[in-house]
Amino acid sequence: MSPSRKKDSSNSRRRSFIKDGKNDRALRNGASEPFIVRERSATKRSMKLTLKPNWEEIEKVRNSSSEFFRSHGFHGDAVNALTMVISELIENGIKYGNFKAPGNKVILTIHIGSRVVTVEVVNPVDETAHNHLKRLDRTIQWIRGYQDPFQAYTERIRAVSKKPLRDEESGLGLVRIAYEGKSILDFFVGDDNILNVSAVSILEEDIRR
Amino acid sequence: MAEAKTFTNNLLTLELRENNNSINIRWTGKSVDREPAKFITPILVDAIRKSSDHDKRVTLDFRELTYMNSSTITPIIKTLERAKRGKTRVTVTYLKSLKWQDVIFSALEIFRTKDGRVEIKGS
Repeated sequence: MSPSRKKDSSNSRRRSFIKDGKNDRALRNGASEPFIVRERSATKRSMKLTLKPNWEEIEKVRNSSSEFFRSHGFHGDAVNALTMVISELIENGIKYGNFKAPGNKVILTIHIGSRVVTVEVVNPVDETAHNHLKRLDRTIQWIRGYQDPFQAYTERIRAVSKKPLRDEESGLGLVRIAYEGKSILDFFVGDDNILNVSAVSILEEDIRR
Repeated sequence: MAEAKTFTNNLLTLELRENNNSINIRWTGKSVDREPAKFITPILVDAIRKSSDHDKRVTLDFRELTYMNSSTITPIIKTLERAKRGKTRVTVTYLKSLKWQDVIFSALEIFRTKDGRVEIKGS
C-alpha cells in the first residue's frame, strides 16, 4: 500500500516494542470481551490495550490511560495532555481502520521511558484508507516544517474556521497532538497493511507530581 | 426576564441562559462524540442569530468543560470566525489555571477583534 513510511532503523528502542508480531496476531484474532487490558510489563512502565473499534471504547481507554499515568506520578496537566494524544490517535484509528473482519481491533501501547512517553496506535487498513494515509503523511510533514507547533496549530485553526459550517472535517487532531501534546508524530504501514501511528512526548522535568 | 434551556448529548451539556442583554452558554462535562458539530452547531448558530437580531453578547463559558476532542473545536472556531467577520459580540471564557484549556483557548486569540467585539478571556 502506498504511501507507506518504513520504520526508522536508527531508533532501536522504539522498534523493540512496536513491531514484535504480537500486535498483528491480536489484531487478527480479537477476543470476545469488549475491552481488554492485554498486558502490563513486569516493570509496569508499559501498557497495552486492545479494543474493539467502537467509539464508546475511547472513553474507557481514556480512563484506563489516565489511571496508568497517575499511578506513575504524573500530574494532572500531563495526564490530560497525554490522554488527549491517546484519544485523538484512537479516534483516527477507528475512523480510518479496516474492521470488516470481525476480529480486527485497535491496539494501543503506552511506554514510559526515562525521558519520553511513547504512544502507539495500531490498526489494520485497506485500500480505502489510501487518501487518509496520504493526508496523514502530508500533515505530519507539514507540522515538521514549523519550528513551533503553535504556529502550525493557529494556521490550521485559521484555515478550518473559514470552511463551511456543514463541513465537519477538522484535521486538527494531529496538529493538536504536536502542539498541546508536545509530541513528535510518525507512522508507517507494515507489509501486512497494519498502520502504526506513534506520538513521542518528551518529558519535562516537572511532569510528575 | 431570563430564559434557560439545557441541551444534553452523551457526556456534554450546554446550558443556555438568555436575558435582555446577553446569551450565556455554559459548557459542562466532556465533548467526545464522533461528530459533535451535529449537536453543537445548531445551538451556536441559533445563539448567534439571536445575538444579531437583538444586539446581545454571546458568552461561551468553557470553565467547567473537562475535555473536548478536536472535532469539537471545529464548530467553535467557525462560530468565532463568523462573529469576527460580522457584527456579533462574542466572549469566550476559559480557566487559565487548567493547562489544557489555557493552551487551547489562548490560541483562539487570533479571532479577537480590536474593538472588543470578539474577546477571549482566561480567568
